[in-house]
Amino acid sequence: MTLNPTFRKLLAALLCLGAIGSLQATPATLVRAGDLKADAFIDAATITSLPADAALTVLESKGGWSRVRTTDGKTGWVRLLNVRVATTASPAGGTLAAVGGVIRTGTTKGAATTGVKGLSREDIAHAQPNPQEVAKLDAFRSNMAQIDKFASARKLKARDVAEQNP
Amino acid sequence: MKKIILAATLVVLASGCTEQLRRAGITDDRLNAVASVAGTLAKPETTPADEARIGHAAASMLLGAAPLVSDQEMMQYINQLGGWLARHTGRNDINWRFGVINSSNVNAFAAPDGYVFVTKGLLRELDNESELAGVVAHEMAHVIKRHYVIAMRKKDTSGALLNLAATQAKASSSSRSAELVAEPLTNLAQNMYSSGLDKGDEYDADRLGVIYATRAGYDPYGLPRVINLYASKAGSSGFELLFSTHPSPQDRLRELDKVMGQRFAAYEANSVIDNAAFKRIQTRAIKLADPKR
Repeated sequence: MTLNPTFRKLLAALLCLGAIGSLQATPATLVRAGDLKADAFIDAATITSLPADAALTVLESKGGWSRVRTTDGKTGWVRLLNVRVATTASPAGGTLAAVGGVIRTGTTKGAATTGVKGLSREDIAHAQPNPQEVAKLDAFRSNMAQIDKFASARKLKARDVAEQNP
Repeated sequence: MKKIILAATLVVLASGCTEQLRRAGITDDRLNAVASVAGTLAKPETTPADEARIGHAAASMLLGAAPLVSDQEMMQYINQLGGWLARHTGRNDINWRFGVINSSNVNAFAAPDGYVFVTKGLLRELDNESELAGVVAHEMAHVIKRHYVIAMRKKDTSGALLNLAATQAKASSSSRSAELVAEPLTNLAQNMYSSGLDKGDEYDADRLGVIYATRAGYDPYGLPRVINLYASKAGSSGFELLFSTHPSPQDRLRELDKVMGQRFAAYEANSVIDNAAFKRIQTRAIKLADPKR
């Protein structure tokens, strides 16, 4: 297999950063004891019971569930709100995001150093009002028929949910 | 009887005779409680017209920092999504206007009088439409609960919000009319959007955001997944302002966990998570270049 030299360099750089393989994996803790399920639903088979404070690696999330790997290598699903991603930012995460940003757009920062507009604290501090842009918003307002079409294309069904907690 | 005592206390307080009240056996706690009511009454109410001016100034400042995307499909998409959510907030009477801002910074903003913005950077990061619905619904809750109006009134040391209508009337005789009114409001908005709301307002908007999105038929866990995403991006480029203006993702999830509990699991089965249109919009967001200065 021959690789384009630029692609090979990029791949090597990513491997150096440990980016590939840890792309989805995020260290986390289980905040309360719960079952590790074989699938992302409540009736799925229980693989094992996990204690509170168990260390986990989050691999992906789907609906109200997160797919995790335990320290002893078991993989399964736990409730999303039972998991907290580790408080301290992993340095790899920061580097990875920066690399991702460069690949996608050439830059992620809107600060003065990049020569593009953005919404950093500095950009806001130097913002000059732009009422012409605000006026444009009116033209994009949706009418009833467009909104109905949007909802029916997705089969979105309205439901009652009380604002107050029981 | 209580009302009479309260009214009498207010009158005496207003005249500055707190010492007499203390001697009459009224405790400091009660005095403070009445004084706080009196303080609120002293500030003129923000009228709907004032809110419209404040919202316009805030939106104008944000779009001055970075403009809207010049992409009709993206703009229509966000307005249809927002329009559908609006029907389930109980406040379809608000003059809702939604926009995608052409900035790679990951964030979303609300401004008084129905303005809701998400950035192109946010669209790039999300996984599906229910996550976007959760974020938009969170911003709509800030509008409905008037969080920015209330916070700006507290922050307003320059008097930009005091008697806006009178300032406007006075300024209309000047050639620089619009600028005279707008400048202090712009400064206040800059201050507000770079420092953020109180933690309590953010938790409240998270709680309501989940409720609105669920009512509209979306997966209730869209917003919690976005907050998880933020947690995994701590320290990443493009997320700085979001992190400095919000409680930590861990605290937000802890608070959401308290109010969501098991209550929302019942809605999961019949929820919408994604739509092909979201992926199409996301692809456009990824390809779109940042605007030059």
